[in-house]
Parts: sequence; structure tokens; C-alpha cells
Amino acid sequence: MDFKLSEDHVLLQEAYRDFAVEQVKPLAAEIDEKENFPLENIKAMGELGFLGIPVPEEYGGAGVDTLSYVTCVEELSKVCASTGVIVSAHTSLCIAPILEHGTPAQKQAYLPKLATGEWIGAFGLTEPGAGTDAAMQKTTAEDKGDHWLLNGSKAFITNAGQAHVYIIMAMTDKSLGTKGISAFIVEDGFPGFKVGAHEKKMGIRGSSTCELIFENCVVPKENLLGEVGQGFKIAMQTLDGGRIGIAAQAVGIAQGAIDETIAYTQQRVQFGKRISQFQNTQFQLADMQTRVDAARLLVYRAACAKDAHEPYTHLAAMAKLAASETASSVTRRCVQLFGGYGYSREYPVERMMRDAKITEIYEGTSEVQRMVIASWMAVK
Amino acid sequence: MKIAVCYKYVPEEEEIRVLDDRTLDFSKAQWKIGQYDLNAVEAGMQLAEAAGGEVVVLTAGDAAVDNSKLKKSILSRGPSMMYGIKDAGMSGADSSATAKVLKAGIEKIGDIQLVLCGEGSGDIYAQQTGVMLGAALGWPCVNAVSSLTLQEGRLIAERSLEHSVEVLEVTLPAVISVTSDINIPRIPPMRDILGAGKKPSACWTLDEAGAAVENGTRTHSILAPEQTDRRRIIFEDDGEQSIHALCEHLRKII
Amino acid sequence: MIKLPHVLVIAERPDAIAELTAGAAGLAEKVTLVYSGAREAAVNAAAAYYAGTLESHSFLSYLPSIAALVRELRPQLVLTEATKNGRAAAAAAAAAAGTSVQTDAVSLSLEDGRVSTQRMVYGGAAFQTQSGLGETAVVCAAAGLFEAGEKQPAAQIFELEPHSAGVRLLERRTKEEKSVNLNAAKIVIGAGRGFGCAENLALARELAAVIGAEVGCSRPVAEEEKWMPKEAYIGVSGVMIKPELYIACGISGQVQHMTGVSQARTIVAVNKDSGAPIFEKCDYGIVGDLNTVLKALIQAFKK
Repeated sequence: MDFKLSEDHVLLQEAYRDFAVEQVKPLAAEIDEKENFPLENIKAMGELGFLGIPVPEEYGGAGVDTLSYVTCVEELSKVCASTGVIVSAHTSLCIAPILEHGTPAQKQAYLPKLATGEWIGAFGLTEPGAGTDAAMQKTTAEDKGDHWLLNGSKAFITNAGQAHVYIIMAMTDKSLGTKGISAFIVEDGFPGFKVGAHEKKMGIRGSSTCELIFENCVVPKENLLGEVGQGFKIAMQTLDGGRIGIAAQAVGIAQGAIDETIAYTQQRVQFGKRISQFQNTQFQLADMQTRVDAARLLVYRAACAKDAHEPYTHLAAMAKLAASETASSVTRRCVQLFGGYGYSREYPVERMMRDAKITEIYEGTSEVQRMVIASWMAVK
Repeated sequence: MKIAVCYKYVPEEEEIRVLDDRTLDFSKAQWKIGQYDLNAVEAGMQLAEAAGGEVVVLTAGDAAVDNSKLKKSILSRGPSMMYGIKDAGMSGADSSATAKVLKAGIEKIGDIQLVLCGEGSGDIYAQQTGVMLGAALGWPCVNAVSSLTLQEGRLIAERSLEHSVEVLEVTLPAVISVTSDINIPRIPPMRDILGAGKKPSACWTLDEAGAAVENGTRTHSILAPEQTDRRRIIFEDDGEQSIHALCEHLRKII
Repeated sequence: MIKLPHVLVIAERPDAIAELTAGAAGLAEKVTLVYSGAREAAVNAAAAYYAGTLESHSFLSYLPSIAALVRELRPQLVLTEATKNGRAAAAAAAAAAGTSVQTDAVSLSLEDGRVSTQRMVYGGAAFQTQSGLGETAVVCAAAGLFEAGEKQPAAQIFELEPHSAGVRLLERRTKEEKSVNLNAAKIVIGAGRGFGCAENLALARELAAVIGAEVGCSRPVAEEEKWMPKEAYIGVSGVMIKPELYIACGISGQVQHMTGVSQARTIVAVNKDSGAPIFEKCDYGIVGDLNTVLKALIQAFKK
């Protein structure tokens, strides 16, 4: 067992970090404040290859493993969780299912543009009435012979409004329950497809979250992803991978908050001492770093299992559960160590605390992760 | 045109610790490529990309010369080949000694028309190696270059001095030291990082390069400055009395 | 102290000519000068070699002549300014003498005829003490290393010949931005983010005018807020200063800034935040509003 990243992983991580520090960090407060989607950085990341990490070179991607992908999401999220989730949703929720289930023609049509960031990707499963209980899909897809007709709506869709490609789950046969769900590749601009209201959020405000509306949306036959009826399976598999990305985002947020707090406590003086000299500060930081390292190892383990094509559903669930709860707890404690300034928007930790909360909710709440883990443990 | 960019690897500044006896502890510091040398690599790449040509890199140092990660790191920024000259004596080499060793390297590589250096090394920052390398090679050398272009085969350099900017035509072969604001070094794209390991490199001993380390200076010590104890007389408010008292102290100095 | 027989000074600014020749006179029996600019700027030298006004040539074109002069005169010490031209001249002189350059010397001493200097390395984390090994030492002197004394016109002035040296001056443009001369300033006012906006820096400049100080700033003020030019920023990766008095206004006192001012004789801090770390590292501190304090200081020193 080797807990070290390989030389190439480290070099790639340094590039992710350099980009994050030089180009993402300076904008993080502003895109949060103004709810600006960081388009220029997305374009720059596309050029560097960050938006096509798992895409094979033949489709214009970097052809790199999940382990490197999680270090990318972590480095970005250390300074800006919004940028982290944009990359995570694009890669894990749109590129991954096309890679896994797409036909050669679909791969050729979508992957090169997604890998370079010319197109941004998104994923639509959640509906106003079907969140954690994803089987309650109301969006329908009707076979019209030479095309599919989609009707319904999706809610809380990350990258919506900015994305060009959406992986959409819809009911093709209600009588079959989850086995009646199919997956479709929907492009922005398909007739009858509309982006609805923009969601105003507590955190990750630089990312775009909207509802999607399908009113007799015409989807070409060849845009069915996988087989009819495989949609739920594709969605669940996709979320397994997505959870590794969100877990990496959570680790990044937590590490970013610790880094800011160390710098702050080392220069701030109270009662004639630097705050970092107080044992309370030292013990708290030691605890927090230990939890973050533990969560990071779980994330790496899940990533390595995925890369080795081993079962990783439960490993991804554990990684996300541990990392997201760590992020929430760590950022809250960091704000506390900052005192009054922690609550001020002058410093980034309040943003990190707001950003952290969503990691316990999206791509499966912590409760869902516990269900997945307990089920793997065969506890009934 | 074949361009050689010289670089030095230096310890990560933030990881250098000051010990109680004021000496520096480098044991936890990782090596990195000097930040100003990255500007030189970028300048070389931009020149080659605009006017055609090849960029190779050259370093001289001790054990880390053929460190695989550093090698990939420099090659990921675009150069086609890395050359190194490795000798234990290089660890304390001054700029004159370094320049002579690099000169041997440039001559052994052969066919170089332009040598680029950063303004100074990331650790010692004497800003001498480039100009001394020019003197050693007997080539024209220009420091403080903030813009570099090839115009109809002529090398045009803008030299940024304290109060003026000189626009110079430089005869090749030449040695140019570039400033840190000549460009923003690129973050290497992922495919270049992954391709760097496949690029060729050569590592020579001093003998193979036909060089020797001959220092012109001797370093007696490198010590952290003694901490000056400050008086720490603090006035807790900005009322008239406090300001008056502060002024009294200031008048003794001003 | 036994003086050196001969020092060759290479300088271009009139102030630097006066300072370096005065310093050289304290170190050596005989001082020779190489200079450019105004012809009459040659002072305190037995012989001066004039490189002209540099209107039609780069100073680089005189390097071959300087190298020849070093080989001919074989001075025990070559002393240059820490400017771009000074560094290039130092390298040419060192190559001619077969030695290396001791650059950015903040102190210089003579021991048994050996020239020993100190300079900052590792971004200000440490001082390197070094000395020359050969017959000739070459030192690039940091601003403020020597003080100018009385100025006696140079005894003799010779013309220095330009050579092509592979460079041809096509154009010389004057820089618009006034470079800030923080290195040599005796009093420096440091402006931090506490000023709130660029306009408020007028107060710092007004105080500077009253007490004869230069204004510098912290890194965020130059690089993030862009209230002041990059040349004005004091700190590890910016300018390292050594004034008699440093007045930090609205500066919290981050380590990397404080390293840049650690050599100041006296540090005064003005900050509204009593918890700012700068109060741990200053000689005099006042907790209060920048506006109030600076206005009061301006009034007090105007009198």
C-alpha cells in the first residue's frame, strides 16, 4: 500500500494549484458576491485540459485517471467551491455517462467539444417532486417514431443555463417503475427545451443552478443514451462517480478554510499573543487537519477503486459522507477561530462555510450515503 | 534558430526554516525551478513559436540536476530537450563559476544562436550569471530585457533601465537576461505535462562538459538577521495627548 | 585600517557618483571613475573616464572599454551602482579580472586587504557574508551604502570609446512612471489597505512632503488594489528598505512585509485595529484613525 501520489499526479496537481491560486482565487469573492458564472476561467481551464480529464486522447481529452481528477477538483475548491462544482458536474455527470454508455457516434459528437470546454455539460435527474426519491420521475419521453418527445421539468440543475449538453432522465414507461426510466442527451437549442428560473442559493453562488423545462421537446432518436429503460441504472452509476467529485470538492473547501485560518491566526494578536500560540487554536487545527486527511484518504481510495474497475459505490458514499460532514464542521470552526472577522465578507471563511453545506445535500444527501453504506454492509 | 534557456533549481522559500543559531535549515525545503527562470523559458517559447526554432534548456547544479520531477516540470513548459551538468561542487558555485560551467554546456550542445536567462536566481538573486555568461562566451549580452522580438531576422530587445527604455538591435549569437515582467509564464497544459517524460535529456559530469568550478568569491556565512527588539510603546487612542506624545518621540528622529 | 591602493568606481547618476567616490576615497589611496551623463559630474577622482551622455549609445557599448581599463589599471576594488547598467559593468569588470561580483552590498568592510560584503539572500530570510578571492574584488553597492561628502571636481577627464559590443541603440524612450527611490530614503511612509481608497493616499503624500519622506506601500496596495506602482511595494518580493524611520500606516504587519522593513532603525505604526500584528513589531504605535492621526502629524510638523 502506497499513500503517495505518483510523480505525474504531483506535477498535474501543481498545475491545478497554480491555476487555482493565480486565476481562480482572485475572482472567488466577486463571483460569489455577484453570482457571476466564471466563463473566462472555464475557457482557460478548457485550454489547459482540466475539462476533459478522463476523456481519452482520441477524443481530445487528457486521458487521465480519477485520482488526478479528484486532485483537480480539490485544488479548485480550496480557493473557490463554485469553480470546483462546475468542473465536477461537467466531468462526472455529463462526460462520464457519455464515456461509459455513449455510442461511438455520440462520443464523437460530444466528447471533443466537452473536453476542450467549448461546450459545458450538465445532468438532470432531480425534479421538484423527485429529489432523494429519484424514482418518482414525472418527466416523460414519448417515442414518436423518428424522434422522442420530452415533457416535464427538472430542478436544481448545476450548470443549467450555461451548459450546451444535458444528460436528462425521463420516464419512457411508467408501468415499469425505475426500469421505465431512460437517459437522453439534450442539447441547448432543441425545440421545446427551456431553461427556467435561476436559483438563488446560500453558497456556491458562482455556479449556475436553474430549473429546466421540457414542453414537447424534440430529441432525435440517436440521442437516447444507453438502452431504453437503462436510465435509472445510468443515473445511479453516474452519481456514484459524481460523489467522488463532490467529496473532493468538500475536502478542498475544508483544506482551504484551514489554510486561511493558519495564516490568519499566525498574524492576529490577542492578549499579547498570536492566536496561533494558544493551545486551543493548535488543538483545534490539529483535529481539523486530521479529519481532512482522513476524508482525503477515503476520497483517494474511492478514486483508485474506480480506476481499478472495482466496486466502489459504497466507497464513494463513505468518501462523500465523511468529506462533506468534515467540510461543514471544519468551516464552522474556522469561522469561530477568526472571531468577528470570520463573519465578515472581508475574509473568505464565511463563504467557505456557506459553500460547505451543499456538499451534504447534493448528489445524494448524507442520509442517502448512509443508506448506501448500510445496504452494502447488509444491515437490514 | 536554436535557443538555449539556462535555469537554476532553488529551494522552496516558504519551506526554509531558521534555526536558533540563525543558520538556515533546507532539509524540509523542496526544490523548484527558480521563478525568474520561468520567464526566460516562456520568452524562449514565445520567440520560437512566433519566428520558428527550437528551445532547449540547460542547468548546472548538484544532486538534483537529473531529478526526474524537475526535469518533467521544466520540459512541460515547452522546451524540446533538457541538458544538465552535475557536480557536487556546484552547490556553492558563485555566478562567475556558474557562468563558466554553463559556457562549456552551451558549447557542447552546439549550434546555439541565443541564450536566455532569468534576471536573477530565485534564491541568491545576484543578477549576474546571465551577464557573466555573455562575457565568458564573448558574445553580446544584454540584461534587463522587458521585450524581445525577431524582426526580419534581426533581434530587437527593449532594455528597461531605471529611467529610460533602450530599444536595441542585438547581433547574434547573444546572451539575454529577461525581466520578470516580460511575460506571465504559462501554466503547462495537461498534455504537455504528460508528454514531458517522453522528451530527451542529457546529464554530463564536469569532465564530460569540459568545465571546472572556479569561484571568484568565498561565502563565509549565510545567517538570518538578528531580530531587533522593538520598544513597543503603544498609545491606545488617537486623542490629542497621545498624538502629542507620539510627536515628541518622532521629533527626536526627524 | 590599511587602505587599498586603487579603487575604480563605475556610476551614472550624479548622486551615485558622489556617494561611491566618497566611499571609495575612504577605502583607497587612489580613486578612478568611469561615468556617464553630465560631463561635470565627475568628482573626487584622480582620473575620470567619460562615457558621454548615452544619447546615441547604450552604456553596454562601453563595456569593452571598461574591461580593457580593468585589465590595464588592475584596481583592488571595482565599485559599481546597483542599477541595470551598474550590474552589467560589474559583470564585465569581474570577467576581465577573473573574479565574481559581490552584488547589492548593504555593508562593506576591509580585512587584511580583503573586501568583504553582506547582502540579503533567500528573499530577505538571511544575510550572506562573502569576500573576493582574487587580486581584484568587484562590488555592486546597494543604494545608501555610502554617503556623499565634499565634492572636488575630478583632476583629469579622459574620453571613453564606445564599441559596437553587438548592440546598436535604435531608440531611447524616457520612462513615464517616476521610479520610487525607496532604497536610499531616510524616512519612508508605508501605505496599507487601511487607507480604504487610492484618493486617501494623498494624506500620506502630504505628510511625506512635510517630513521629507518617500511613500511606499504593502503588497496588496500595489498588486491587488493597484493604488500605487509595483516599484513602490515593500516586502520580501518587493523592495527591501533600511531607513532611519519607517512609518507604517494602515498596514497590518504581515511577515513578508515586515521582513522588508526589519532593517529600519525605528518603526512607527498607525492602525485602527489594536490587534494588528504590527503593534508587536514597532517601536511606537498609535491605535487610531488614519485620517485623524496623519492630519495631526502634518499639522505638528508643518510648524
